[in-house]
Amino acid sequence: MSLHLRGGLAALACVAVMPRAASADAPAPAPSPRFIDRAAASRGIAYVMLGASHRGDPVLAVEAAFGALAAVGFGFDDRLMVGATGRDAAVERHQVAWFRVRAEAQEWFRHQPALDLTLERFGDGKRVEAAELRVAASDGWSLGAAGRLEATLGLGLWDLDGAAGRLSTRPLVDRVRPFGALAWSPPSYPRTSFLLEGSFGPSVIDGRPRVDWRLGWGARYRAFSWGAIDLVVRNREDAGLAGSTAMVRVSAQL
Amino acid sequence: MTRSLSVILMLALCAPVWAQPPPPSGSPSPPPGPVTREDGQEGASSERADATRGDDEATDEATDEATDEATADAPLFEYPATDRASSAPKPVRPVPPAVHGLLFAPTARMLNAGEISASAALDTIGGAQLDLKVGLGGVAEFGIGTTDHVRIRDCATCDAKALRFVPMARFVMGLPEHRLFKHQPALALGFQKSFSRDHDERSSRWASLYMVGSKRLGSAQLHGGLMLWDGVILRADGSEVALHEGPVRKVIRPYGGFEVLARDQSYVIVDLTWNPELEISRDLTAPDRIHLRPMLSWGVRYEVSRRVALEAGVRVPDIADANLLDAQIFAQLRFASRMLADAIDDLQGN
Repeated sequence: MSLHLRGGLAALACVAVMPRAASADAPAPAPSPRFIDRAAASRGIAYVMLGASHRGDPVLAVEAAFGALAAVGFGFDDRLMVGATGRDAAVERHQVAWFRVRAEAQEWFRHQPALDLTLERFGDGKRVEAAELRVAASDGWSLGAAGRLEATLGLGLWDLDGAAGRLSTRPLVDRVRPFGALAWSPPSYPRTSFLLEGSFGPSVIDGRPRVDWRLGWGARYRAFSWGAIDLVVRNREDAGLAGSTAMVRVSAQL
Repeated sequence: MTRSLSVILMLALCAPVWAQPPPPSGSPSPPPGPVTREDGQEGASSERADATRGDDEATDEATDEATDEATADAPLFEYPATDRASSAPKPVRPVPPAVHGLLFAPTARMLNAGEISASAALDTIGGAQLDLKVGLGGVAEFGIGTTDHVRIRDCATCDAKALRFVPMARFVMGLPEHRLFKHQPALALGFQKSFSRDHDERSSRWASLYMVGSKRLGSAQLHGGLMLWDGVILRADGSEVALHEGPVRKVIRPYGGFEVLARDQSYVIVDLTWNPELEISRDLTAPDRIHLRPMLSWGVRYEVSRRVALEAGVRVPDIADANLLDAQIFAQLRFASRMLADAIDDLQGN
């Protein structure tokens, strides 16, 4: 097991133990606006997340509500991987911007989950390298003695540019990918959530664009009603355990 | 094409004539003077003012409905009162929302007489769009601005790039909703054209003629119409390619969209329209081409006030090939003013 992964697991264990000092009777915190790489379809006024990976790749997300229906955001992202092979691919830092239109849970009918339509584009101001149009549904449930569970499910339509061509020239089946995420808060540690996320992300391997799977897992400790710290690990296709990425992130929401 | 143009123009020119209310049978014909009520106010106009009386605090829905109903009842032409009472209260002008319409596609909703509207949009690749328009008599609109919706590509498979800051002008004439008959949608005939723009050792310009209808259904507004496009690319050697050289069916496109008041002051808007794309051949022996590409936009309008609105959304310049890399996230500020209309009214002593 790599040194980085062991460090990530140790940090994860620390976060899991930390909330013991917090009151177990504290009210359930607000739904998470974001899991690991995927945002939940929840509504907030503003959200800021800042973090870095063990390789020093920064990540930043700033989102502000636009009226009651939409939100716009921008930041820096570490999901686009470029390399000669899948194993050797490295993060290509780039800007991201997104626009979301959303409907709150139960706004239209009973038991309706929160819904979200998002366009997210990766790239600098002159050139777009990747874009995703996605729909997501999010909901949360109180499981009584089992704590609280939040879930997000969705579908994304990807487009990606590479030296060997564009993803948009391929059939839709090569471009549409599902994603899902869970956040479970055990009753003994109401301020802590365990995160699990499966999704797809953009890669350009040997000039060929593709979307490959990503598996994220970790823990979140909500130190305040408005702020949290996450310790998460991301595994990706072709990278093996040695290619895992451990990240620490702090976030604040209104 | 000439025949189609003639039909559209004839329809537009005849519309105001059809809009005249039929004279009551058995009664002498005009002039239909204002109906005077017991309190000495003008019937139709004060009813309209009463029906739409309110200020900026009134809800959009109430004001819009009242304005529509008042418009339906009002005669097309109002003759001045012969014995206007000096003590008569000054009628309150209706205040319909001045910022309305789709994100980028033209609609049949027009500004009131003398109202001015301006908008500025920015997108994520630094593109910008400006628009300034003024309402003329409540039945027409004139506007100027710039657009970056026209795109250029060097070959069929090359990346397209936007042609920035193309100046353009627009003239629209039409009728508001319920004017000809109850439930009649608002109708407009518009013409917009660009000024010549030099680029890539060529000069290009385009124009479009459109007929559009707009209808309010509850908290939603539907818009739909037809566009007739033309465009010309003129090379330095004098050779040119024009869109109208092809069959008419290649230059006529349907377009439309809707606005839904989904939350207080917040509208969800979706529209589909068309824009020319210039395929510039680097090989001068090969001809240039002009294509029409469907542009899909969706977004949200947040009404900051009755006169100011913010819009944000997504614009996909060519939705036909589901190319998301060209999609742009944009923000747009719209602003409307009645200053000119008020100044004109003051000059007229109203």
